[in-house]
Amino acid sequence: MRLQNFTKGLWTELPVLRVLLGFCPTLAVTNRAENGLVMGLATTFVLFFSCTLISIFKKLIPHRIRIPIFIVVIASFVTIVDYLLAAYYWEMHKVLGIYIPLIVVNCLILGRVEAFASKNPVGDSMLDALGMGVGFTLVLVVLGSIRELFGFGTIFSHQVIGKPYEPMVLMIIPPGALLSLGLLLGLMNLIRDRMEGRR
Amino acid sequence: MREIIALSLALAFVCLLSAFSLSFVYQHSKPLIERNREGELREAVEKVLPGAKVEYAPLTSGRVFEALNSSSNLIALYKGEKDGREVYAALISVKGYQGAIRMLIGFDPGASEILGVEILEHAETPGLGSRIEGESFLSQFKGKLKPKYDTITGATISSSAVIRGFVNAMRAVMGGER
Repeated sequence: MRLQNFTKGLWTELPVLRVLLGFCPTLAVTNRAENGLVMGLATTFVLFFSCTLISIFKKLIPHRIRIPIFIVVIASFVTIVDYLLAAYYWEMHKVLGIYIPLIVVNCLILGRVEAFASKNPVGDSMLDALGMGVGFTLVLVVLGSIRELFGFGTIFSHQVIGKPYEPMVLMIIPPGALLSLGLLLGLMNLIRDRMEGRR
Repeated sequence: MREIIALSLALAFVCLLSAFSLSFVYQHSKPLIERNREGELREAVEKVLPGAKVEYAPLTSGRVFEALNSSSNLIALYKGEKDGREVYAALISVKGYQGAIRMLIGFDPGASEILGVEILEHAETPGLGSRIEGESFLSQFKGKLKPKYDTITGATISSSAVIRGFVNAMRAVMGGER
């Protein structure tokens, strides 16, 4: 097991911002930091268990039908998350609603399963899935915080900007998602270029 | 041919395992999910019919039911009792800006009085259309049926959808008694 499999998900192969995967949930649910956090954790759950299971049974999975099998496994874990959220976290289940079933088609998950878990040892696959999940969650929380800050004046529902501030509705509707994601991507590229330039 | 059968069997086996584990989780979470859904409804009914004793079995007949069912998209109707009077809570669905708005209206048809309105579920624009949930908008519905209600600036479609749904339903119920 190499720790690098975990840390690469946090920087060099950071989902969304470095490896441009998983845009749909990123754009859809990040109007509040809390929504981003729960979406990120739900995705991490699905990613971790799918990768672990598939890595364990990788030798038994017939190569020609591996994609349908991956999708069945991923969809099962997504449905489990959906039931558990509805049972234990009803309010959040109402907010995320349709976006939970859509984790099935988050290409980040199928991408990790196909490109990593089905070819690497179990321990490495678990680390890889955790790293990617944590990285994805971080991005969603950062983006959610930015949008919530400007759109509601709060972060995690705590008042940050005082009363006279008129919230920018633009930031909580879809155009705000595209704008802030674009600016964040540009910022990341700037940071990367600076770091590489100094080396 | 043989390979097709082998592959199909492998896939069927995986699906079978998946179905088993899902039914296990479903069995476990179903009562909790139903309790959540019912708790949410009860909370809303208590808000629109404060202090009433409500039976939570939905009505399927009666004059009020017929009037609402023919005039609006009625999902469920509950009957309760408050100070010896018959009161009702109607769950209706109206088409909003981005999907269905489910709203609950509490009313007393005998006195032609509306006791309260709550929005249970909607998919309106956050920050704009979502203001239909606000107390300042919903409190105007209390009391006698009025000829005109105020919409919300910046949320005209969402707020007029709620007003239209409300007025249609209440005219049907109370119109005959005026």
